Amino acid sequence: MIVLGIESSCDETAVALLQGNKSTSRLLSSAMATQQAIHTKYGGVVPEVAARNHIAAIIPLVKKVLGSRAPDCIAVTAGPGLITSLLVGVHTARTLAYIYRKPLVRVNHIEGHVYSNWLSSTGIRFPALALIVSGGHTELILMKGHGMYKKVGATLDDAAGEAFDKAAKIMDMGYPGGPAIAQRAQYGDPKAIPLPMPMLHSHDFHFSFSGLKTAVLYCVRDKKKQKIYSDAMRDDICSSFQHSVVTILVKKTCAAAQRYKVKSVLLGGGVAANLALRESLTNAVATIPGKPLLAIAPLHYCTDNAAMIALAGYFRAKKKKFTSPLHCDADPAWELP
Amino acid sequence: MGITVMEMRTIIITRGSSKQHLESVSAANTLAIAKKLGNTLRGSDVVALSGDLGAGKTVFAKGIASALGLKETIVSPTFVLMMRYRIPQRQEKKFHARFFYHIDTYRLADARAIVDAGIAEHIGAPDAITVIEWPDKLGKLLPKTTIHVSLAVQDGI
Repeated sequence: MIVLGIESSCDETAVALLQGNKSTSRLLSSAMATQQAIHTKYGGVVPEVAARNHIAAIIPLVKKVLGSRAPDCIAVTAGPGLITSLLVGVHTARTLAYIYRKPLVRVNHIEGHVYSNWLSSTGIRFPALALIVSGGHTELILMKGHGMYKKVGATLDDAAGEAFDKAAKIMDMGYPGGPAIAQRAQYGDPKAIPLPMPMLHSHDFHFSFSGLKTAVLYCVRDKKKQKIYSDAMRDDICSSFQHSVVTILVKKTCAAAQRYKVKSVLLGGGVAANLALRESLTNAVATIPGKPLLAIAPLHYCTDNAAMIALAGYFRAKKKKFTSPLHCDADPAWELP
Repeated sequence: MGITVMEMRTIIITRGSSKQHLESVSAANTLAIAKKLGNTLRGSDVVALSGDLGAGKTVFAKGIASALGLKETIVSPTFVLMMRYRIPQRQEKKFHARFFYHIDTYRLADARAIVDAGIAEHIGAPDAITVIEWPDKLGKLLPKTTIHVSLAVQDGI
């Protein structure tokens, strides 16, 4: 089955064509237009600008990816995300499904990030636990099988990526904040600043990053007052902040993995590109009894992409979870069960 | 491990001609102040929450939501710009409202972007109670009857 995947939930317009297969799927072609340079100017995503750029980019991308081929099925991100951006992808997919008279599948963006792991790893077994961390999401998802999701943990306030962005803003480091903080963190001491680790011992699998952001705010304010807010001090704050976020994510993920006795642990989403997180989770999962397999999405599949949407769409299509092209809607707040 | 965060915050609530100066010593305190205000809200009311990053705006929004009887976790709407929650049926009569809108303009450039994102049309809806974080960019889009809450962390040390 050849699946055309379309993703436009935030500021990346992406299209991919994938040959779906139960064990190993093959990416036939893919193309992407990113708007990061445009949004960096504004210090964030501007929805109207995002939507306008999606419109300009999407048809040429579809043409480029399809070539002379026709898909057997069309999969599109229907949520969660920015409504104005989602609509561009959803309406393009609806139209294509109608023209080609092929089935249409709605894919959840988080589900796509979960499946980014199947694009590169083989041997993933159920039950599996996925940690999906990005600018808009921090979720622990338990899977008993393909398409069977149970959210076992989530942030109670800010997403991990949002905490990186806002902490970077407090330290005047620009947008996006994750890469900026990770880069400076290498030069700092992760133990230099005693920052809190919210919810670390909360006995559940939820997260909270709002208080950590506030602690960074107090710290920067106090260091400035004491006139000791140097570049080296900022590197120490970056390093300590990253250390707190990573420790919380890794501890909770490993606790949930043991509680549900999973056979695989998966990591995806934009923040999964953070090297400290990848390294720390690798080391921690290796110590879990039963030695679950660890799959980490390769860097180019951590950010938003359409290959993961096509693959998630393939598994939905196999279960015949189709939507009529006349009734396919975008849902900006779509939550996996 | 970690530090205990004990910081004073000033909370100023302006509603029509009345102005209340309050102080909060903790997140729990801010929640309680917000809950008290939440209990007085009715459909079409708009609450504008001003304050820097980390001032406690989302905590204040959580307090209002808890007064409305919402059971859901109120998460930061920064990424999706707006969240809509259903007010429980048994509370509808008391508040004359069915929905709680939680809006965050942090990532939006200006009033024009707020209109284009399809958010402006929800502000002040008669069947909803609306809370807006980073309201300054809204300018004239804010109703005259808006309740203004400004939160500020007092200087430490």
